[in-house]
Amino acid sequence: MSLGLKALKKSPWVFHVNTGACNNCDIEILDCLTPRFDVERFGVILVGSVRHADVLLISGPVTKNVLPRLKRLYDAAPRPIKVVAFGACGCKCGIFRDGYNVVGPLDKYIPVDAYIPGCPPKPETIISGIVKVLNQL
Amino acid sequence: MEREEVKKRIAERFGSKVRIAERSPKRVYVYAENEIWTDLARFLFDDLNARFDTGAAVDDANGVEVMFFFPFDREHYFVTIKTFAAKPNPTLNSIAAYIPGAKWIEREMFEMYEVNFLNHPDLRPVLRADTRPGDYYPAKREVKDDHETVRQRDDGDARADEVAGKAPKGKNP
Amino acid sequence: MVKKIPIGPFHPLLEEPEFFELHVDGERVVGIDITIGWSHRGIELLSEHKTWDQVPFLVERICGICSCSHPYAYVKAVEDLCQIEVPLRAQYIRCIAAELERLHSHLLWTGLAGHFLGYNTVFMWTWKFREPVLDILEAVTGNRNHYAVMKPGGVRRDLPQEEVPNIIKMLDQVEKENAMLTKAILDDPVIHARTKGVGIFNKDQCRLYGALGPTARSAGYDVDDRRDHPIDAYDKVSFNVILCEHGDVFDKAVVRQLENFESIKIIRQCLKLIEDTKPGDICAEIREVPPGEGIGVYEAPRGEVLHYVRSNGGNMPMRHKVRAPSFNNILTNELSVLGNTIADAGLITAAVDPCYSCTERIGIVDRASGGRRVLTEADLVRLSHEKTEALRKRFAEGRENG
Repeated sequence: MSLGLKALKKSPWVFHVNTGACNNCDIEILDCLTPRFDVERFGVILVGSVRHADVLLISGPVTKNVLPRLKRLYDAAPRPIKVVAFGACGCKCGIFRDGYNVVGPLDKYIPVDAYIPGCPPKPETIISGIVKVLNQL
Repeated sequence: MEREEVKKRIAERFGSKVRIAERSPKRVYVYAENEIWTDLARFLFDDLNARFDTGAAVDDANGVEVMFFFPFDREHYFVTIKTFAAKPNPTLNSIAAYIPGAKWIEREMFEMYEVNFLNHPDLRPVLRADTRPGDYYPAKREVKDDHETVRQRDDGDARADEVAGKAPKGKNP
Repeated sequence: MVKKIPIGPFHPLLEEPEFFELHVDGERVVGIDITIGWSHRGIELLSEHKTWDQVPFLVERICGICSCSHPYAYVKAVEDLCQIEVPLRAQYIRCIAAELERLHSHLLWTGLAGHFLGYNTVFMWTWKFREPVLDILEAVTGNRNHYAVMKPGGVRRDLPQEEVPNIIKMLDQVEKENAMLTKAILDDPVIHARTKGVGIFNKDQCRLYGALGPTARSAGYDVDDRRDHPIDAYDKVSFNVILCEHGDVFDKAVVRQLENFESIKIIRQCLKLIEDTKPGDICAEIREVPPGEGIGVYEAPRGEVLHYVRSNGGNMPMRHKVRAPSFNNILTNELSVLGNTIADAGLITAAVDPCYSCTERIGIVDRASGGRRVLTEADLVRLSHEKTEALRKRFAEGRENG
């Protein structure tokens, strides 16, 4: 594989976006960084800016307010990028499917490479999901 | 201040303009008209030293019933002021100028139920600020009944197909 | 001249989207404009299409951190409507789940605040100390976060008796760790310098704004629904209400740290009292919900949660009003950020422990020159870390010079 891909596979930098979720998924993502699960030993770190991201981790059913900003973020992300839909809300809107302010699951707007289901997904599931995304690279 | 004492003082001050109902030992409801409800709210907040909590609105075909909660913490009960604004164009006086904590809840009631609060410092939608089109009030009875909420289970086979096989549309470069 | 700086909607410290526009003059903040609603999902309307028993699953997912608070207030509202008594064992189980949630929520906040201030060790340690609490919650209720314990009339699962020794062992361990954490954080001079006098919101302002929870108690405004509107087992246990006096970020941290000890005390008392109840008697059956209305309040980790339900006799609520404490608390940022620097503004808005889902970055709009400078999340955290480093150096030099 090319040098670029090799570097990418060694340590994916993850940017996390919350499109109106209840925040539980976000807590579980942060939990993965903490000493018990510690994904940093795989090289996965959470970055503060979308311009440094290799993987976009998006949780939440997309609400109307967030949609334009989500599109801007996706356009601003550098290529190559992998998108992971996180949690029951990210995959299929979850329990908020019929809300008037919820405009539908993530894959209506941007192409998604992996889905991590659960409400919230257990940290073990998250690690397994990220490894699957890495193997896709 | 004890419950009986509070009821007595409200009755003394406002007389027949209010109706006091007690649903349970800890819940007192006071019904007031639009003209005096802000006076009643300020009476409870300033003179009787209640705490300002929040508000709620319930609507039906005739109008919107708006209520504000004022708990008396030391004595363990809630006093709720209820007032009514008739449709069309429900309008009420606002207490946001006296109690700043009421600013956002009045904006929310305006946004959801189209209740116009007079003398509110900044009456605009609070929860759907920049995506709300002209005059769309989602919780109003007339609008709500049109909003489709599908109560059905996903069909098993269709869902299995979705999950198992189909590739996402488009690919990431 | 006044510049405008937008923060949000995805803020680095908070995990939930809010949007603040700061108006700055030089380095000082002179005004703020708050926009919320990024997570508005229309839950009150969704409630009207779910039966009375299905609603707790929906309201759990209003917020993930305080996921026991909303169902608790909702079932209290329904029980207020129906005027029924809950069996004693169910009351104790509810209280235990609720206080465990308070423990994990306060530890979570301390970790995030530590991370923002530049103390990544605090972040890692507090979240590590949180893990045993989540393990116990999983053993007792079945899930680390969305517990689904509440049901109108009682609880859905009984407390397994074989877990009780594990709970007691975990409590002892967390108490020791919390004591160590409290001492380490609150004795550090750099943390004092960063948080004392920052973001002050005093008692009278609390009263006018209806501030709740640790935000209010840190200013001396004495409001705690566990004591004022006691529900279930809270009038059978004894605990202290923690009050401070200044209302700055330091006091907010102190209140939360000391409340952890009180929660541990309450859980211990509940575990003792539950031994006298009959196992299996965990739910009072509600055959039908009569027409009427009910108000349910509960003291969540962030403040008072209020649910109002109205019924017209059917099997679904006619109206369900939810008011989370952050609705009142976020508005207090209007006054508490004034006069502080940009680096502190992020800390102040996070000190009220907002529960509205967030992330993202700051943009600075320079009105005078017409240019636009964008600070990313990394920049905002870097600003805060730089300030902490500068303070550390100053203290170190002070110590060297005697």
